[in-house]
Amino acid sequence: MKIRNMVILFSVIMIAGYLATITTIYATQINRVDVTEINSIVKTIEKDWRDGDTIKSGMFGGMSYQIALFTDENYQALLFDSIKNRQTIMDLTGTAADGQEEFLGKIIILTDGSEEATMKRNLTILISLTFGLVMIMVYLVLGLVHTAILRPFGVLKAFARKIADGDLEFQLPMDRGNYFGAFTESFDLMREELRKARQGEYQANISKKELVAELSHDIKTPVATIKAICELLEIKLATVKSEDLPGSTAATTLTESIEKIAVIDAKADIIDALISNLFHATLEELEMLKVNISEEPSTVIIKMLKEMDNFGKIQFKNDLAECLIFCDPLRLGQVIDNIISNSYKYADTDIDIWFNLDKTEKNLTITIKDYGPGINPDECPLVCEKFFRGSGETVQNTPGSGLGLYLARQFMVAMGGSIRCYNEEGFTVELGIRVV
Amino acid sequence: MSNTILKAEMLSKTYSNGSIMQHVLKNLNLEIKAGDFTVIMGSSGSGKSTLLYALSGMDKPTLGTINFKGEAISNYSNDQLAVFRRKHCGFVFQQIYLNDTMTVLDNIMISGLLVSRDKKAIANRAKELLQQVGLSDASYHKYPSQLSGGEAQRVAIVRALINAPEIVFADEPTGALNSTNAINVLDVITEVNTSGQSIIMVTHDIKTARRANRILYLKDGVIIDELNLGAYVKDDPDRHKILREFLESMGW
Repeated sequence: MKIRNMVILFSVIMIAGYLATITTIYATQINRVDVTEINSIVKTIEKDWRDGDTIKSGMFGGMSYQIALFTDENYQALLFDSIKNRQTIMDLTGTAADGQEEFLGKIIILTDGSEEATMKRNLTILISLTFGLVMIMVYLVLGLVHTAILRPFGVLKAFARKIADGDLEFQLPMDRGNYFGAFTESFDLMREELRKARQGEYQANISKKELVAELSHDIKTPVATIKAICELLEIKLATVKSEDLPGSTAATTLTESIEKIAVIDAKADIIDALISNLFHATLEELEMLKVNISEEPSTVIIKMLKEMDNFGKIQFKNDLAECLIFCDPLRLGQVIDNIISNSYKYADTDIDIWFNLDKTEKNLTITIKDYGPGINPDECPLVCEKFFRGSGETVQNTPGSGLGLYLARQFMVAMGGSIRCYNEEGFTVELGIRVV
Repeated sequence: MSNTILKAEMLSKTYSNGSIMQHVLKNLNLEIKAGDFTVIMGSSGSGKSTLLYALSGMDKPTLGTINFKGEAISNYSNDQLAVFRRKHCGFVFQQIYLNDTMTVLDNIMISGLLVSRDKKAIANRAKELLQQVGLSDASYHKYPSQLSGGEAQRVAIVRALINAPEIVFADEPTGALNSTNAINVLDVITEVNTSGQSIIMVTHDIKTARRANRILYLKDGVIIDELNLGAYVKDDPDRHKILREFLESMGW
């Protein structure tokens, strides 16, 4: 229910209650005593009395009466009772034998004394009802404020803290029907953008360096060919004897050629050295990706793996022992990211994960295993080398730079841990993480 | 082992404030055997009290498990923990926390009534224990304000013992007492231990610590070393010497 409807309903109920109360108060009145009616009753009774009709109670014109005779024993008691009940009392007079008026007793007109009580009860019910309704409305409004405003706000607060903590994977649940829905959505968009930007930055940084590294790597090959040809030419020309050549011009050309080839060779050397420098500089930069080690609860690993579980293929084979580990959550996340994406790319089978905590060695091992074709056993020691890519067909047909496991090893070593890759049913990676 | 009463595995406690995480206990492993008198030492902020509170179920660890007689109390809900503490743990604090508006006997009995409904039995046990710690009949109906610090702490010890807990947790019980009173209270605690109850105590005081048969030294949330004094007789002067050497090597 919208707040506006609520307010309208609230007002309507309040006004209705108010009107009902007022109406009841005015509608309920204690019947006035009709003086002429009573007078006529009295006169009738007196007349009847004179005629000898001495009935002591009866009805006249919708009003019942009772006669208390002066001579009655309970005269006083009757009188007091009727006074108590606010009944109308009139004198009953008759004509005595001497023709004088004589006081006989009282006529008590019985009116309903409980009217006031009835009115009170009705009023009480009415007022209770009104107050009850008002209370229910207030509770409803408070409840609405709580669910529609306070709770979403609490969620938003928790979300903002997560963002501040740098946890950009935390999704904000959204409720469009809510006042906060749109607000929440923009917050979540902001988070999504931040996450993308951060990921993009990391990717751009890596790929820029990878490009430079790859290019320099590629340029080295033609330069090496140039150098080889130069050397070949030098050797070949050195064996040619100038005496065998026809004429002095040819001899001069030969000497010049040898000199020129030497220059080409020297320049090729320089290019080679420069490219080596460039290559090493970029590699170092790649290696220099900062690792900030902190003490983290081991449960972060589960979170990272779950984030990578886009196809529902990751299965935890045993429970992770809760403990504190040394790691850089960002880098460990990248390591896991690289390993799992490799598995998706090359094996595309289920991925089983085991955890093993060695308390004495203070080491937490994560074994990540897929059931794909694995790698060529000869290439096993090389998988963590930079730019190494397997010779298998799938690998050759899948784009990649050969840096994933290399970076994974760099990061693991920087965190004081280890990485080991081997074939067992499929490809298996064992990550060793230091426990605090 | 069968007589292990309390076992903590990979216990960590983290307090976080916004993005700042403070790990007060780090992957702590600890085993307490029935009848042990264990003292936890270490400089301020090393996590002594946090460890005591986590072990006793007054606080929940962030990571890791705590087993009491084979049952993982670290998985308990707050209500279950409250019941566990009532039945199995006794607590003695530096601040004595007696209720000023109740007499000594009532202060003790109210703890007893949390566990049992038998008023008479509790009263008898309370009186017996009060006798044991050297408080006479005259003190039963005194109010805490009429007691000395040492007497009040002894009343608190009786309160901790009323439900015959398996373990008594003491957080610097002699910290606020003068030396005579402190010795008195320590004698009581030592006696309690002799009668078979396990004691885990946090202290700063070497004289207090030498009563124990096991000293754990905590630094930055990790037990860096422990000393076993069980081989020495209670009054052996070597106890003090060895403890002093141990603490010096710890950088006390």
